[in-house]
Amino acid sequence: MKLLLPYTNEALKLIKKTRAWIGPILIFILIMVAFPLTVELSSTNLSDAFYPVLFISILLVMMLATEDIFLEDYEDGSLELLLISNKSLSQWVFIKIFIHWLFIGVPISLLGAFFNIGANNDLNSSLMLLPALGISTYIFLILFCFGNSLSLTKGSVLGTLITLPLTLPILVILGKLTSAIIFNINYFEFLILLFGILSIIIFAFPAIISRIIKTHLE
Amino acid sequence: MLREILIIVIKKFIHQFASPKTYFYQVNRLYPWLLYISLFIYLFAIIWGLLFTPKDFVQGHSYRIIYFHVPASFVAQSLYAAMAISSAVFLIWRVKLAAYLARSIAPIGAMVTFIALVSGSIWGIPTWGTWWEWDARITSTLILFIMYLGLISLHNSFNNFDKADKLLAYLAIIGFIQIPIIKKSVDWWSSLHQPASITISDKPSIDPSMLYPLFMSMIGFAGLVACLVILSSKVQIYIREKNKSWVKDHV
Amino acid sequence: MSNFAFSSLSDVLNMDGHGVYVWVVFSLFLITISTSFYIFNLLIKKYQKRVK
Repeated sequence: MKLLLPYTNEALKLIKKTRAWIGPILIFILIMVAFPLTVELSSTNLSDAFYPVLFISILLVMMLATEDIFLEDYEDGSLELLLISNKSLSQWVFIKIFIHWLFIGVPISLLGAFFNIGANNDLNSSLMLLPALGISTYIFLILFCFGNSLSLTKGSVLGTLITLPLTLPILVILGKLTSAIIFNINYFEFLILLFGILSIIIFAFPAIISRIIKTHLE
Repeated sequence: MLREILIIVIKKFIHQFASPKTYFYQVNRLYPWLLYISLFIYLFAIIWGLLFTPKDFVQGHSYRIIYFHVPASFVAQSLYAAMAISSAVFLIWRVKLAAYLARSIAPIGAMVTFIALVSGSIWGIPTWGTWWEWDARITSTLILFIMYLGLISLHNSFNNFDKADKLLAYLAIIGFIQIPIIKKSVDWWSSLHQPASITISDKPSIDPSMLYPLFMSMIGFAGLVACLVILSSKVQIYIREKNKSWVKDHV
Repeated sequence: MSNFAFSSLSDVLNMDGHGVYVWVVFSLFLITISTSFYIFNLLIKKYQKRVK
């Protein structure tokens, strides 16, 4: 139970700040609902454009979700307290990112798979899309948190712009994944590639982010 | 015993060379030689490549852009690798000069990547019929260009040089993943861009009469860009070390 | 070194219709590299004056 305490603390903090986690989810729903309205009536056009719109809106929503992820803690002094206490800053960063993924990334992945059923009338492709969305939302969250930590004192725009190029290879892989889902070839290979990327950055980046935060606090 | 001596010698050498003052004076002596030799090699290679190599069977004379485009792409990626290495040296050993070098490489890298992108686009018009295509190598090079701009803007947004150097170093090291992606993107994804003509393991697929001027142009261009990096690092030293007595004495 | 690949000066400029691309890239290189050298030398002189 003691191990779960920091997780529940962060979860409660995020739940209290409702606009921080409901906001991105609502924006995602808004984009996915608005997108068919802008497309012509035939459903074949809808399914052509669906996957690109889905991935770009996930990218943007993850960017929004991490906008002030560290800023509040930096301004009220919690980061400095963490730094001088015995607790590990990289562990705290990992927990924060994980909780954000649980509250924002997972619902968005589920919603994305749900909207896919609506756009493509295909339950099988939605089930194949779901783990890929789950992994890619986590990867995007980590990358944008890295960007936000770099520009902690200078506003989030700089940080997100800087790390946007790093997310583009992930978008390329997601694009390849859609072909894999549509034609049902090499799907597991691309999923494992995404999982491999996540497994490398999931523990490495919180350590790097904690060093960057220490640089800001010095 | 020999290992200890070697470690002491290497540490002394790094310690000596890592001082901005020693670097500045050594580089001032080296610069004219490097500039004139690289200029000679590059001009010789360009004249040879543009005027004395035979026409390509498929591309005609437009392939001659290779003597500009390929050195620029190669140097753009190498500069990023150099920046990542000097960033790592700065973070691990706290060598100030490494931070100056990383900062001075960024604008040169952006310029060289821009040249590579534009020359590649112009080459694409007669070869592929299009000046831009969202394929792997071109997109990855564009990402590299944006990374360079991001690095410059990150460093410029902080007044505290120490903090700016550290953040630049972290971003440069993380962004280093782009380089293998660019190099391997042509092999991993089937695309419009031709595969690598020169690899470490296989025989080159390019004709020797075109290969030798290409190698020479790569060496010459790398030398010219090294001269630009030297000038840029001198500017950085003047900015950061302007209050030091040796700078005042030199000027 | 191979023989001269062209028959005349106009052939060098024209290059079977591809000359415009090759010479545009050549001029881009020339202008960019020389401008960079010029700008950096200007910056060095500027900062040397500031130190003085």
